[in-house]
Amino acid sequence: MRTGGGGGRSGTVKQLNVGGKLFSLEASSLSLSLSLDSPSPTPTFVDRDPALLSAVLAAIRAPSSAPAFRAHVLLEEAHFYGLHAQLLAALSPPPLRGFSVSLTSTLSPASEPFPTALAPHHDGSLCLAHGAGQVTYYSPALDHLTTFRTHLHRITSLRQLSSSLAVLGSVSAPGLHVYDFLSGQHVASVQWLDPTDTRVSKAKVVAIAARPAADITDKNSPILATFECPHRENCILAVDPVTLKPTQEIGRQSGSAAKSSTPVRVVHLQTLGLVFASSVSSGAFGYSGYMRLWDIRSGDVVWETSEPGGAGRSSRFGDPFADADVDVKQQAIYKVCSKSGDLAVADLRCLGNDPWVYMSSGPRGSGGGYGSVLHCHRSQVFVSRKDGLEVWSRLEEQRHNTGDLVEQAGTKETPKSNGIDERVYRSCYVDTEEDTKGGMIQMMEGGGDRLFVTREETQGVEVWETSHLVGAISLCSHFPLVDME
Amino acid sequence: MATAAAVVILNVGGELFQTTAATLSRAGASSPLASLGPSSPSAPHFLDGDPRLFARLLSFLRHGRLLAGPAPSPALLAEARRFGLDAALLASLSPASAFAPLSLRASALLPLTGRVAPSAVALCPSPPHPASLFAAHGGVVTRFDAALAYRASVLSPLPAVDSLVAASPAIAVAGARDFPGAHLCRFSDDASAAAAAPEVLSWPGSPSATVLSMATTTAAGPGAASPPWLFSSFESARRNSSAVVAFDLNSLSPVAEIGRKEVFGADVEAAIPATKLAWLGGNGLLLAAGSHSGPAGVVGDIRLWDVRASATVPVWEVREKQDCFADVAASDALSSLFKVGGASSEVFMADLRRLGNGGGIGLEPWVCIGDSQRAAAVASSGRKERNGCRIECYCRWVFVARGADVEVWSQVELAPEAGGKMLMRRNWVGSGPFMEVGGGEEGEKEKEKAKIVSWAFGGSRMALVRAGKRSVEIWDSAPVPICANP
Repeated sequence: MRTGGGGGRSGTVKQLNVGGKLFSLEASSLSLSLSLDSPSPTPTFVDRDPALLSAVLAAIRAPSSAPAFRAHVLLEEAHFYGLHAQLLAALSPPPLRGFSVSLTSTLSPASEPFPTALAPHHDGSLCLAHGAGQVTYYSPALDHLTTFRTHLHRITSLRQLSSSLAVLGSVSAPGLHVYDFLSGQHVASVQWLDPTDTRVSKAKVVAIAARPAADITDKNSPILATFECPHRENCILAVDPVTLKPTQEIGRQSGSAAKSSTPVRVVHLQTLGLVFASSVSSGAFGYSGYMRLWDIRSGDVVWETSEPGGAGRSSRFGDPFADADVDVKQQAIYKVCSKSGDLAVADLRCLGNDPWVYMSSGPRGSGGGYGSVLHCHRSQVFVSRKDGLEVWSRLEEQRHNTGDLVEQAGTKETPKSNGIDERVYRSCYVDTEEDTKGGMIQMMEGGGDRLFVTREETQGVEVWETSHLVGAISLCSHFPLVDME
Repeated sequence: MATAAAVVILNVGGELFQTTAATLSRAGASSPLASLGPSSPSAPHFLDGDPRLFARLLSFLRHGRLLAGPAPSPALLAEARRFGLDAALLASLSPASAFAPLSLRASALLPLTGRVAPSAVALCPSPPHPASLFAAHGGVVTRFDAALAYRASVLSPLPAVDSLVAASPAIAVAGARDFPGAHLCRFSDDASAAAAAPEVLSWPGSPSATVLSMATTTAAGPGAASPPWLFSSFESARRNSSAVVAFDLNSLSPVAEIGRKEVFGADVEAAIPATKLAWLGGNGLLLAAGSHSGPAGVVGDIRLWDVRASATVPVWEVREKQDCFADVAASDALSSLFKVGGASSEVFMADLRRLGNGGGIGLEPWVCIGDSQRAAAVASSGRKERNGCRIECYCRWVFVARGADVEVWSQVELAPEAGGKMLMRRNWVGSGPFMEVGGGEEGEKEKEKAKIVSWAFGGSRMALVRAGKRSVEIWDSAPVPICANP
């Protein structure tokens, strides 16, 4: 006789006879059909595999041990008993802490495994565009579920829209396309058309901001996609996520100069009603680019800066940014400087002529900021450089968890005029020197408690997670440190 | 959930199992498990067996597949045979429904005995049977069972096998271009029993004729009720006459002689024997294609035969002069013919439904789905060498072997609002011809890839034979766990 679930807490205990083995489970945790069955002296008989249920219960209790069954088999079984959410929580990694993540696995699709776009979801699942227009979907437990071919030849932007829809676009073919990634079916296409201007046609998609991958909170925010016509005219098109029809045109620009070129990164700041758009281009003379905040209702520019030169001057002349991203929760814009490699932050609540606060502490390699990729996830800023991946975290964020760092940073950190104190930021290297040998980081996206990283001309996607497992290396070959039962 | 009355209690080797009669009935009527009815707790049915193995078999009955562990052990297969479950168990290992070309990964190398590299490979069409695999190396035909655990070999009189066809999990037919007749190799399920001498199927019109190509009818489709047929393309020893002969595989007697051709004088191009046969079960058509390389270039014939209608007049035929095919294939699911150009090595498609009314001589049936500009340029330049590309259709996909790599064409259907077009898109199986930049070892491996000599599709698998390699490469699309970093 086996018992499981529930712990020692009081509650209705349900007896199940699973294929001849008895299980006692808390009724509240079971699925409705099982728990509603009238309490009778004889246990409810279920014609299923008892070994699977005990594996499910073992995985929920001690997620660390190596399971005997594949994760998706267990999840399927847990679905029947109503333990799906519990098991998924047990299988997902602990909260992402940039300063203590490690490379846990490399996802490599079977065919043409060169990634071209990443779209993680807040539940930790991943849509991956790779090769010539193929999309692979990995479940929240990072099980490979499907691979299908789209009609595009190279997908350069991809976002998950819901639990089965993905929006994707390519810089080599017009239109924004919606695919059902579970069945591989093409669902709809969205084109940027202007009835008053016939030149606006065959516009290609450069960047997409769908519902932020990191947040569950906003449900009905529009899909924002930047379209670029063959004659370089561009705009940000808001698309209704339900009807999949364009609703609004934001920030239409001629595209004739670097200052009006197509944004390569779009972030929807829903609480502020703003759209952040940034464009970066690099050439023989270094980087140049702009950042703009558009009011989504009026369609006006609220704030802008362009580097080098232009309005909203930076105090660092000749050090334009290489990449920029917005932390929606902290309401801060982060940028990485292309020459010095410095990280700078600007508070969204008090943007002015020169809102940037430059961070000077922390390790800095010789590579500078050339080719840097910056990504904000879970209130941490991940910056890739030639010599590695570094993470900037705020000490105040840790205060709730560790508590012993309060004196160092907390008391002094009162909101100043621009609200940001560089002293609360600490930077650490995320990867080791061996990891950087894989090549420069090309793309970086956070999803749930995972960080997905791709490197230039390298197959597969690296998955970085915080892990509570020690992973000790046994020096004595006869006795394993952890009993792998 | 089931009421207590419907529960079947089994005592297997001292351990109690409870299940329902519905689950046990999935074992099939021939199985001893299917007859077990509900029992009282005091008197469970006793079965003499290993409870650990039985637990896996019961799990198989519940889920329709094996969940844990790699391939089933011999002990499990033996236990399954006792309960009449072995065929279902083997069939579940490699189901055709799980075949996904974009998820194919090289999963196993099956070594072959002897010194001769394999020349042909065939997979049993899997929906009616478990996908067992046959490979011919020299004159020996070896069968691997669907679990890829057991093998058995039969010696055929052929010096080297050029064409091999799997008729059923126990029968393979081997033919050679330089030895008369198609030879039936029978494998018994019992691995220990010695196989009988192969039987010979020959063309009644010319018993010394050699075999150029073979194909079987698949049991799926309207022809399921009729006995399986084997089509074999024969060419007489003097190479002056040829025909496709259909054999009934149950009675082993010739049924029909299709498209007999005689060469008179030196007009070889008037009667090109078929070197590629393919059966289109959905339409009941036989595709026969052959090409001839002469001083004026390569000329080929592609014919579609309706065996029931006429054995002398094809339903449709085309003569290929410009960019003659290197290989032709037919797909039921896409109802199209596909060819790979011999000069351009681009892929062309012809819709079966539009062949009938457009069958005029002047109308070009082929639509290039690859780089059509390149195809036109190569065709006009009149290159005469052949490239050795191969093409094959399986399920809804078209595969092209180019040297050492396999390319797959998949159909993408756009939404009706977006035009509803069907597009064919090209992908590589595996990483394709890309060279690895980082990993030194992997890079070495890539360089070693040898040309594909023969290939076959069945179940969820693709089998490849490479030039000079004494093993069969198996690619499986069953999901593979994530490769963990060391």
